[in-house]
Amino acid sequence: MAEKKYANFSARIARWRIWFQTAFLFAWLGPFSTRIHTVCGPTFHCYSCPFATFACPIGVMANFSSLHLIPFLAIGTVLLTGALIGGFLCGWICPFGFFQDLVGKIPTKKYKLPAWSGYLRYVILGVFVVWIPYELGKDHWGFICTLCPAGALEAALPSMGQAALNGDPIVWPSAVKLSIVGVLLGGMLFVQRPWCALLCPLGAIYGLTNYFSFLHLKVNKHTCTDCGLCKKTCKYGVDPRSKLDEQRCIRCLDCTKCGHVSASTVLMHNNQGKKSTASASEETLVQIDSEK
Amino acid sequence: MLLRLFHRGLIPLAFGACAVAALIYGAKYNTVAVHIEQEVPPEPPLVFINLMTGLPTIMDPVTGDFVIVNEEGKPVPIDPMTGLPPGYTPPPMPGDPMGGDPFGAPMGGDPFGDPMGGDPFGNPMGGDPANVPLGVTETPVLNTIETEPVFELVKTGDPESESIIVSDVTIGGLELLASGLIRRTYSGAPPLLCPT
Repeated sequence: MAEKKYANFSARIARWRIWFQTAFLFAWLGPFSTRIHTVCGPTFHCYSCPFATFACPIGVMANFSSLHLIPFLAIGTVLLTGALIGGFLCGWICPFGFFQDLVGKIPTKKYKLPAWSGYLRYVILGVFVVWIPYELGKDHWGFICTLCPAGALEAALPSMGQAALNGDPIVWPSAVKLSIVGVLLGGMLFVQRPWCALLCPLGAIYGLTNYFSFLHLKVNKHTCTDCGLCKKTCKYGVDPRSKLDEQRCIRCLDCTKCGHVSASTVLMHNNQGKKSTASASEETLVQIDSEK
Repeated sequence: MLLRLFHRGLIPLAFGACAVAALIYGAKYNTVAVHIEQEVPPEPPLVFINLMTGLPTIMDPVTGDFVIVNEEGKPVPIDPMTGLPPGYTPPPMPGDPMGGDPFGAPMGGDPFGDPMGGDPFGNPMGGDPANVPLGVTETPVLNTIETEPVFELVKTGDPESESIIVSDVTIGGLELLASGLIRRTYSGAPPLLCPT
């Protein structure tokens, strides 16, 4: 019954996002201890995690930079994924984003960050992933892997737990790394996906691919009533009507609940919006309000 | 419609093609020379016999001085008064009445080939060979000197493919020594996880 209240397919599928993220965990976490570290994965997931299936593309890029090599495999993987689905990867597939989504479900007031804050990610990408490893080497404190909170949560903590269980001496992560994790965990209570919105270097790359990705968002301007519901539902403060390809957008498809925004490709002649009416939007609004 | 086809069709197709080309190049053609440290077997040091004392000596690689060593090749303590090991009696010297005289002493050998004297080529009836210098002569002796292990960088067989490099960096197994000189930090079985 509830599905009928959503205006289009994108809005209906958006409700299943958490289950998509859960299903993809089985790919990234290698339930059968499958370690294919000769292959770069497309997501931000530390390869030091005991269950990591693939190599983290950012870690590979930083390490290759420290070796003065060009990471063709990592670049190819990220570029191919970005060209196909762009920021959908962040919203639907990334395990660290999923973790932040889960913590973000704790009912606290969430603040929206200004649009310019998303550009900080490019500084992280340029300085901590490329420049510092290339110029100062991977032993420098600013090497991305020594700071990465995903590495601390996905690799260091499991390793510490395992060492504690085995009775081995526990090796603690650096104080800087622990501080970053602490600040980030606290930030998740007040900002939706603070790592993705502010700092993630991989999200910076996928954010750029939002501008040309094959799978993208589309606003049906014939039916859009400028009700502002899409902007209201976006947790990142993006207004799909004016900035549909905003680089901070993780394509969570929450904005499609209004019925006039939908996921699309050039192969799809998306006229679902034409069928939706203002009343559909009103029903959706009722549904969203009831969810809250 | 055409603009959308270009924007969301051709551009992602072009980027996708570049990505596939990068993947193929990285997987099949991009190779990197990796070096490993290999222990070099130490060369046996040259051991000399000092003709003045009849004792084996080796050259100290640091000071360049000759040091008297025992049969095991280890330096022996020296009496500062005599310059010889304590209790050691040197053999007869050239010129000694009991030995050969390289300068033609009547009782010794004749260094210049006097038929009545010593044989310059080592006739046992004569004195010491006359043309032997007063310094040292090289004698092969078993190498028993304990030295620090010496390592040198050698390339691993074939250049490694990028996939192997990716796998190696995930365990912190590579480091840059100089531009273009990459060293593998482990030997044998690779570690499981990156130490970072």
